[in-house]
Amino acid sequence: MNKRTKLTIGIIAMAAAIVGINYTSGTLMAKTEGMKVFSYHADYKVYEDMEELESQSPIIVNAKFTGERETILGDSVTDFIPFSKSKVKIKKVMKGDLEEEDNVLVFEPAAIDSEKNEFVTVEGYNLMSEEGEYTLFLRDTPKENSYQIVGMYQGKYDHSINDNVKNRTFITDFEDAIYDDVANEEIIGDNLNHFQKLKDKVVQKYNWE
Amino acid sequence: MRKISSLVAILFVVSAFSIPASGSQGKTNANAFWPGGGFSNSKYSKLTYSTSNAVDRLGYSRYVDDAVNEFDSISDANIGFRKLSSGDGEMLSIVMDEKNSSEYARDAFGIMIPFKIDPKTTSYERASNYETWAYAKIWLNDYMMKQHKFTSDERNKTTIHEIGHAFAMEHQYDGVKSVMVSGQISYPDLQQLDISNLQWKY
Repeated sequence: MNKRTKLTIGIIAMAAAIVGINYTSGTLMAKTEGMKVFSYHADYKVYEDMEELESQSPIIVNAKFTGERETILGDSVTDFIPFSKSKVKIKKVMKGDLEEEDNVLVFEPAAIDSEKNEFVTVEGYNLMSEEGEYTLFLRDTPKENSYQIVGMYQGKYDHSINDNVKNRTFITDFEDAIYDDVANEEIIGDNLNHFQKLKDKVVQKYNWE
Repeated sequence: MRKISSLVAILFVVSAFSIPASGSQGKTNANAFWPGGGFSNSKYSKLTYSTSNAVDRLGYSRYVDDAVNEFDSISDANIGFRKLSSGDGEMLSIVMDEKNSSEYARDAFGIMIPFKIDPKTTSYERASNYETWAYAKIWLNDYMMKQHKFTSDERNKTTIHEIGHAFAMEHQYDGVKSVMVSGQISYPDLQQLDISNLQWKY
């Protein structure tokens, strides 16, 4: 091996090492800087089947998220459990007093805390997206034009996601999840089987067209 | 023949230990707790806690007192409590979920959230259920319990359930006789499975 060949191999090896280090750093950096997911556990009513969910839901609608969302945070992280007020446009009313084309506020039990770069949710509920086509099971609140999602993750179903949720989400509560990895999922964590059991019935009954 | 019998016996024993906990069996011992979660074990011998004024105002002091007594009276477990005034450095705060309309935000009866200390700022930051905590807070939601027409026994169960989370106990399977099953359930006391799990850990 002559000097020139050795030099060329050396340069290539050094370049590969530098690229490798940068790539690794980039991956680590991306994970470090990604929005961390905190999914907390609650004591809540677990609905046996869709019929029980329907009976406990005064309002059932098909709706689109308009993109308008207010995040409610506390003065400090220990002060308050964050949530979101999201505006939806009603497309079809299956039960209850709302009208088609109404815009109403829905309280979502999850929020993005931008300052802390954290996504905080309860029982794996994920926020609605503008692309989603939702069937929502709602309950009135004392606040004007504001509604609560019945059973948190049990009361929101996206018809635009056809895959079985069990084939899509691999993050469990135990894993350190980054929000980018799960942003497009309907639900994060341990309640996938129960969610899918309910969703199979909901999409069958409440056609979104 | 004796060899075959021995083999069958060994297979039986092995298979018995291989059956995952499920359904009516419930999670036991380490499986009943969040791995790595909770305060350090020694802190549970004198868990300091406070209750907010709203806990008194809304009539939940009796449920908190009952729940604390349930844990405190477990034999063969190094568990104890000391009540402090709010803001006196307590490890566990119990408050009512009623700020900025938060009681309407979640169709849930209670939530426990743990915190750890940020080494850079030395202030609290959110912790996961799977790491060591410095502080924990329980929010009880009276509005939702009223919406669901809770009985006293069901309020007792929710309060015990949330304090159970502060002991790093995770949810039990539906159908299991345990306060750690989610839902509107009439268990005014810790159940035998809960007690044996707490005795195992503490």
